[in-house]
Amino acid sequence: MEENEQNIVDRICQGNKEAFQELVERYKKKIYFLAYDILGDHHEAEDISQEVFIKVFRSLKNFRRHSKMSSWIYQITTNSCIDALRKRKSKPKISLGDFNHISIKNNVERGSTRIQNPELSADASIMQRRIQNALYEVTPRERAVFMMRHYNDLEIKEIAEVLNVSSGTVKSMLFRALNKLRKELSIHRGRSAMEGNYE
Amino acid sequence: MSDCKKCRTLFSDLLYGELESGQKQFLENHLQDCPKCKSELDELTAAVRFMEGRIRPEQGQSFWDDYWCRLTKRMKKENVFKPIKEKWLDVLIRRMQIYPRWTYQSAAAIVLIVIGIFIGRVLFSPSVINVSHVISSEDASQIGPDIQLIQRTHNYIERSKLMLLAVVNFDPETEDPFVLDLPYQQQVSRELVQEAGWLKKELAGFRQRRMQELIVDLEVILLQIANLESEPDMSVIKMIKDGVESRGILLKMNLADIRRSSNKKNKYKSF
Repeated sequence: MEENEQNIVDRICQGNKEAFQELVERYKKKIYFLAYDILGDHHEAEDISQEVFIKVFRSLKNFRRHSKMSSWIYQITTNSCIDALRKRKSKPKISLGDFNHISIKNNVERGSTRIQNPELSADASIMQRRIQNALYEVTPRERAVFMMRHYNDLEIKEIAEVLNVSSGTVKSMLFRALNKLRKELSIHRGRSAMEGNYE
Repeated sequence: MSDCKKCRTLFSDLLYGELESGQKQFLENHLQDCPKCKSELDELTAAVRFMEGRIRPEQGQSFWDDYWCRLTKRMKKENVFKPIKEKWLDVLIRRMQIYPRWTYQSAAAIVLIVIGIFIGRVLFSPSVINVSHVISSEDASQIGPDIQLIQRTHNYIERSKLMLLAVVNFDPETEDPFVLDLPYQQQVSRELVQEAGWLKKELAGFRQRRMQELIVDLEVILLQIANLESEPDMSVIKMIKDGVESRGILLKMNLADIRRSSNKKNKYKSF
């Protein structure tokens, strides 16, 4: 654990609220985005991220000082998200509208000149929906691994630490997830081609 | 393992940049010759690229600015900031964590051994007879008159036994008749005959029938010894021997002795 983080932990244990706020500011985006990536729902992601911070606050006294703080927090997040996914009976509904403003915003940020074209915007939304649907075809654990590696820039070694498994297991989980996504996307591609929607 | 299978196991290493140089060479060679594996890898790469196109919905700055407020509001609602009152058991466990686990394990083992020894000693070891206590309890002032009489009787029997054995074991063919020391034997016999008279009367009062009979038998024999001539008369000695044998006096004496020792043991056990 970094010396600075060690200091924060000590201060929180002494009941310092500002230190806890510092910790929240440092991790809030990482936690929220990881939760969102795994759950695919904004409200649920915020709820889980808050839950994670409450758990961290409550169990900070039991935190083993020799382990990495970020790994410990990611571990709590991943477990909370996987639990939430298991409790969830059906996958959340993804509306096209959710992605319309995203794709437009994204295109603006990238400086795209095609923003004015509504057809392209619709295509981007469809693509996002396809990605999201494909992600629901992998198991919660595989999805968590895939998200940590692809969207949260965690190294394989770090993911292994978070999940308490070997690097080999992480690699094979990643490969399984990727293979399922490949198959799922090729199915969609086939359907889209038949419907004449695919680019 | 076939080359295709081996090749597929290396796909994830290739995609995540963890391929070793030797493996890279093998993979490249195989992909040049195997269109099926190449096509699969191309699809995987395309899937990765496609997935990279995923966009997260960006939350506005206000979402992040208010995040702490929302979190603290929830934490207050759930009483998270309230200092948690630790249970005494938790406090004890936390304090015990100062020492390593093996110290408690050793202490527990020692306590168990001590308890085991204590239980073993108290419950399973044979009771120790405190002889001194037994003897002191036999103090004349505390012993009843019947016990005193029995003790006296047994002393009498012991002395008579020694006397009888000396006479009975005397072999005139191998031993010198003077070895027997008849005058002394006669004197002791007279004393014992006198004592037999008192003992008989007293034993009659305490219903000690067996003892009484033995004393009567002994009295007869002892009287014979007391009436011996000063010169050893072999025929009389033989008669005494036959009398001892026919009445089974030595056997009765031994039985009385055994009864006494068994009574003693029972008495000790009761302590």
